Amino acid sequence: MSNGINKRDRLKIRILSLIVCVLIVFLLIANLFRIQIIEGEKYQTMAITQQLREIEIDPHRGSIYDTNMKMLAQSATVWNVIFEPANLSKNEETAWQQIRMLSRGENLKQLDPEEISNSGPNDESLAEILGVEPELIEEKAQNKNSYYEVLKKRVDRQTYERVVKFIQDNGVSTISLVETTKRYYPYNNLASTLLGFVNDMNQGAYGLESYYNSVLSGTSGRLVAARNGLSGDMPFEYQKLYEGTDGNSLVLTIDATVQQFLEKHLEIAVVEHDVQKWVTGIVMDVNTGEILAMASKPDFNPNQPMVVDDPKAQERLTGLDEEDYATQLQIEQQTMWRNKCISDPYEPGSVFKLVTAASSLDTGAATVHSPYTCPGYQIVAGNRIRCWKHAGHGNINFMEAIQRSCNPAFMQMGQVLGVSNFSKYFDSFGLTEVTGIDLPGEATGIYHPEEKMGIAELSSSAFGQTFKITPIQMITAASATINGGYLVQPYVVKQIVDSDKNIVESYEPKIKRQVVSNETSEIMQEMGEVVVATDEGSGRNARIEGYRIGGKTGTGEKLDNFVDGEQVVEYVFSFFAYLPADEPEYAVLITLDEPVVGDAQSSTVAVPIVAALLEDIIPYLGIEPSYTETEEEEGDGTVVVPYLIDEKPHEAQIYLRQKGLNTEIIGDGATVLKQIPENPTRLPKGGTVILYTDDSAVSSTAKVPNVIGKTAQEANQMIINAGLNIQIKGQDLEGSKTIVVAQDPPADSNVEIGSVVTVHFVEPAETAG
Amino acid sequence: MASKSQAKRRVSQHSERAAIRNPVKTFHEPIIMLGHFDTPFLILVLTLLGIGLVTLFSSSYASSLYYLGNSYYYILRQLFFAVVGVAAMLAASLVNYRFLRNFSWLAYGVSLILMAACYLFPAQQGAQRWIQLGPLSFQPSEIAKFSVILLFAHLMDRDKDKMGRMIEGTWRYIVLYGAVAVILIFQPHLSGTLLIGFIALTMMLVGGTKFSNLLKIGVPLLVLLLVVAFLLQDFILEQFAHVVTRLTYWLDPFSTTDPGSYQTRQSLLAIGSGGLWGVGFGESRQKHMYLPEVRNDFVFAIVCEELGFIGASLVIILFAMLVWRGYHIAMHARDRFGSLLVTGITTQIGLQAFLNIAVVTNLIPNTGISLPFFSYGGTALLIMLAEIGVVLAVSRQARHEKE
Repeated sequence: MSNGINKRDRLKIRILSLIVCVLIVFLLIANLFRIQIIEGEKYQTMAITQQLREIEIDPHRGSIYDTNMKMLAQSATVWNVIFEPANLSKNEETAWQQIRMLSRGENLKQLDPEEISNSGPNDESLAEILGVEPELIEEKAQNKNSYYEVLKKRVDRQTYERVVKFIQDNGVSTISLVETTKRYYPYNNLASTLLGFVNDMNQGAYGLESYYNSVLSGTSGRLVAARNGLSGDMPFEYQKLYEGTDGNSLVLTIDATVQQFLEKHLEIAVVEHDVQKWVTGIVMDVNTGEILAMASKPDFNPNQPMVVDDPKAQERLTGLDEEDYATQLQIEQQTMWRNKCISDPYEPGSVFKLVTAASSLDTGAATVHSPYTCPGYQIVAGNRIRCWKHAGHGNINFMEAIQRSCNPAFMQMGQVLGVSNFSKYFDSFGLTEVTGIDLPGEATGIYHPEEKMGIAELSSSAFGQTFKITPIQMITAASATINGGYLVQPYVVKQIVDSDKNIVESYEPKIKRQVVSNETSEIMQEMGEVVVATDEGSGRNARIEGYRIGGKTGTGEKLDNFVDGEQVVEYVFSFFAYLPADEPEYAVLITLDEPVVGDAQSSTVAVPIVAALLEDIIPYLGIEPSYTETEEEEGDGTVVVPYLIDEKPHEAQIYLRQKGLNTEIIGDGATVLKQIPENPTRLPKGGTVILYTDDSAVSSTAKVPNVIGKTAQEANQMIINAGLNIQIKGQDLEGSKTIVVAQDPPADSNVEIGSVVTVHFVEPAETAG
Repeated sequence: MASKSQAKRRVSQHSERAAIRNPVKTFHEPIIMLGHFDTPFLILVLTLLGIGLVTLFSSSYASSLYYLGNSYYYILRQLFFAVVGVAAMLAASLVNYRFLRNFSWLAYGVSLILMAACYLFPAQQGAQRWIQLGPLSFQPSEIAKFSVILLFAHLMDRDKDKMGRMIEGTWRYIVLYGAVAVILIFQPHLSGTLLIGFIALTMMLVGGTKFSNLLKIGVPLLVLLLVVAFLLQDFILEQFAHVVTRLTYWLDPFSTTDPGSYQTRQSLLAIGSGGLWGVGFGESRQKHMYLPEVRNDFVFAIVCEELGFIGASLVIILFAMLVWRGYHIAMHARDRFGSLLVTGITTQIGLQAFLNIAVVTNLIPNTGISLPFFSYGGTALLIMLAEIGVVLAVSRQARHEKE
């Protein structure tokens, strides 16, 4: 036993084994019990907090439709491309190769010849797919610990698919795609100041997008999902979705077609009159307050809301240093985004005379026959205030005062009305309050309050000077004078619908109050019609055969216009029109802020624009003619096309309208460069003359239809439908049985639209005989 | 027949004495020894190895997939070393353990050289503990553990009558350990130094070093160390700065957001998440890149998270049973050498398991001690299994109680 173990040794080992085992079992298990059972919940909560990530899911933003459910704004799914430099290889060289593959398309796999056969070399780099500079990727790669470097925001589905393919082909693990939405405005600039746009957070920043943001945006959903320690996806199944609700959509009172017509003519107006500030235009249903169209130009493209592309604004921006540029850019953006129809008060000028006249009639301060004297000026509180017609209007009555827009007559009328009544009606017509239109940023005007109004203020206010109101205030007040006397609340959203287009909410027209009596309103309808229908009327250029149109011109003098501390007199030209004059349905107000027009009056500046617009929207809106043309047919019922080259397009249109011809303006230049047919072609009344105002506007061509063998009526219809004009030769057209025997140019030839097709008729009997 | 067997015994006794004088030249026993080894011990080892491999697979799955694109990377390598290790264990169990004492000085010397050689290799995570040979790297301290056990067992058995003396029974072992400790502490490898220190101390106490002698040397030595530490406090603080910071994190790992305590915090979250029954095998969330180095020292945290208090306690009890059985083999070893050898190896396994789990559960400050059979590390597993083989070899020659 000398080499064996004695009892003492054994005891020692036994003691040792006891110590070690007790240590292991009791100490460790007791500690484990403390952590897992007693304090387990605490640690579990901490663990869950770090493991679970809450992801907000953007709800689908609602669309915006026009009154006929044409899409004006919609949201599409797009993707942000995210670069995760932290996932680059830790090996410097490999990481560099990975970066080069992304930025320059140098494929990793090309380094390994065996792999090329498996997947062809990829020459296209990620930078190329995204259209970003390779340096951008190389720069972002320097943020080595970042998991979130945005390479490009909002790429479309096509790019998304190319990126996904790139990732798969090259086995990239540093690029991820995050779904988001992009607001898309299919008509670009159309109604942009009305619609507004959304910011980077997909929240409405301007216009309807902003005003109805809560309706459109819906509520966010939440996805609670487990994430690994590096914020990646976890493979196990914990994922819980709390659904949000998609935003509702808006249906507007706006008619995209009317809006297009309005904007087309406003764009032409900006150019032909070299407007320094802006033009506005509103088309409203006078009885309901529904806005059919509302625009101001220059505006912007809500798809790229930051881009300033108005040439005048760009001019102002050139040559500025960095700081001034930033300030000026902000000013230009704010200006182009603003809806000037509701946000920018202007001097209404003579359009306001409708309000003074209606108030005077309503209180009995004036009758249709009230006499006024205009020596060409009026002395008010020692100051001599001139009439626009320096020679004076002489002795005129109430109707003539409106018809000729005589300032002294209205000063006298206002003085009779008195401060108290004037102010009462001014208030009653809604000119001291916002109209309440459902758009953000509506402003109120600046005016003389009753307690501070003396004879001078009263006199100038009576003809629309020395105060400012917004175009939307003006059109609703003017409409109240001719719609039976009711002040309506204008609105642009008629319905809120859900994603299945079920109606969630409908907005009804709201009449705020009756301002003047029906009788007063009826008289005012006639007064306005005189302005357009009579040759002395300042709105005579708005006459359209067959329709009863009323209106009132305005030339507001801007009193707060200073350049380098010097007052510079500039004008706002405007025209308010309504039709049918005897039972008004629609009203139009157009304003031009600082056009360059020499000493012209509104009758030749604003009126033609309104007339051109009416000519377009009357057939579209299907407004029935109030009377048939009774004018005598002169000769064979054809007229000579006048020479219109170098005329302003809207003025040229007046000449054509006076001849009984229709006009189509193509291009957005300031003057007519080309006309088809040319002077002195003869056209039957009702024919269309095409005016090209722009070199770049490619002339459209039409195919000449085959009208041989057709009756006169059929031939006429076919040729007009083809966008061409007809000229009839040969037999006179008394008999309806005449048919076409020859045509020039021949059928199927291509000619410019508006060209004349000459057709020859003979009696069928004769042909047979 | 009887005389012949008596003669044989005499020869054997003679040869044993000769072996003590000059063991290599006069070892006349067969080198290969068959016989029954201790089956319960083997079963416990294989059970722990099995659980260890499965856990390693589960815990390394996510991070190896994420970082290396191959979720089987670590488990396949570990599996390879486990197979080789089990073969080595069986081979070692066949070798007559008494033959090993011929190499005790050699092994000790080689260990010192290898540990010193670590200083020739570049530092990894601030320490020079590894020898890198191509794709393989290993810590010579793993071999040093066994070398110290072997040499101590050899010397304590050979000079068992002198164990009560100051020089031969106490100083000798302190110096032998001291050589190892000095090399290790400057790598720096504090956990290895302490672990081997514990093993050495345990073997000295079991091997017969007088406790009073130990105190006589130990107390002045400790005082001296403290004085030196005080005098060189700037140097010490600089050299062992990581020790100080680890101690701060240990006291309250949640008091700071410092990355240094991150591992401990994540470990506690993993363990706490396990609750009574665990989140289920393979279902750990903390292994998904939350708990750093999850396959190495902190693999037990994933055991706690996935298998809960019940499963983790079971693993602890299995370790306790293994240790208990190890000491049982030690008590029934054929000789003092075998007994001390097994005591050392068993103590090593028990201590490592205890210290590792204590670190993972923040019972003691964070220090790098791996969990036997669980932690990733091929050579460490291979050496551990070979040591198990030695225990089995001792168990083959166990004396059975004559009751």
